[in-house]
Amino acid sequence: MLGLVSGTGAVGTYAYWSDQATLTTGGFDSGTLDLTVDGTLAGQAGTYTKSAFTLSDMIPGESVASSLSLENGGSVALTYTATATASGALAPGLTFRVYTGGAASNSGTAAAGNRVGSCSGTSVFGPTTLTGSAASVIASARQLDPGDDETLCIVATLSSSAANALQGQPATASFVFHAQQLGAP
Amino acid sequence: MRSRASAADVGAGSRVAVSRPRGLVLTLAAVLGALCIASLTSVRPTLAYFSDSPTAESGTITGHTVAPPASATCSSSVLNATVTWPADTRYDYEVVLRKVSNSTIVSTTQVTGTTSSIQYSGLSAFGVVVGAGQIDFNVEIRSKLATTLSWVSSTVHTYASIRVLAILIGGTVSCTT
Repeated sequence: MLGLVSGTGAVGTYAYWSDQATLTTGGFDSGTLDLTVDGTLAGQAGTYTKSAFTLSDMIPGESVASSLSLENGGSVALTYTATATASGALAPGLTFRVYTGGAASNSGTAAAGNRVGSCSGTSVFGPTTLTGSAASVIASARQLDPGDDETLCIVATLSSSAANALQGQPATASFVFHAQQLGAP
Repeated sequence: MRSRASAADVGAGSRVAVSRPRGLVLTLAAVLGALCIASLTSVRPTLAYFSDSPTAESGTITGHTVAPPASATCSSSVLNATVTWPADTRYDYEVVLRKVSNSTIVSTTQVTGTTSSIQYSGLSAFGVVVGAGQIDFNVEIRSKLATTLSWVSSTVHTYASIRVLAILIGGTVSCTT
């Protein structure tokens, strides 16, 4: 009988105390990289038409200037470069110049055939004819910290040696800005 | 329990006694090697990055079309004919006097500056001699860009018809538009 009791008493308890704790982290948010043009194109990519960058009835020697405002609308520092193309039958007669940090000014009238566009700032490209193949117009990467902006100024000139066949012909130019986070390979 | 190997043990080829330290060294070397590889891997920069590629397009840029004068007027008096057209400060003009009967060009005159008229005065201006009779002429005007003379209007337009009557004792000029 004693042996039976002692045998039973040797079984240990299966009950135990326990505890657990949960660690909740703070939030993790990815940064945003966003290069806007004239306050448009928030978010990724997109196309913006600078309607003021136009000229009709252009005669050889005339030019038009227009500025673009580029802003880092994201939360991380970025660098950017730019390429450009041109299309349309008038494109072979046009030359383009690109300036950084400049402002555009235009003078003259169509009736007088003396319209002149000019830019202040630093010339970084041209005068060069753009084609359908992308040309590097801003080759050295430029840095914009979040909230920073800078102005680009572009002058399009119809060459004084433009061919007679270019009369009444149209052209458009396209500038693609390649932005990437600072330090990207 | 740690084994201790004596020289005799080594000489006797007791492999158990000497293999433990060597194994430990090899293990440590492997761990250190792995750590080195791991540390080297960790300093390699990421190849991923954020990017954005907005595009800005110009509006349409259009070349001018050189146009001939929209109209012209012609006036005459005795042996003179004057053709006048609206001026465009961008243009110079090329005026051709052409004989209607055989399309021969009598004269080609460049009109530059702010001038937008031409006067044919006397029979000689028409290449006509006294007694030649009645001869008709057309006046054609072509516009040219003053700054780029290679840009010319493509349309050749007849603006005036001039009739010269040359008789033995003189002549008259009349014109219509």
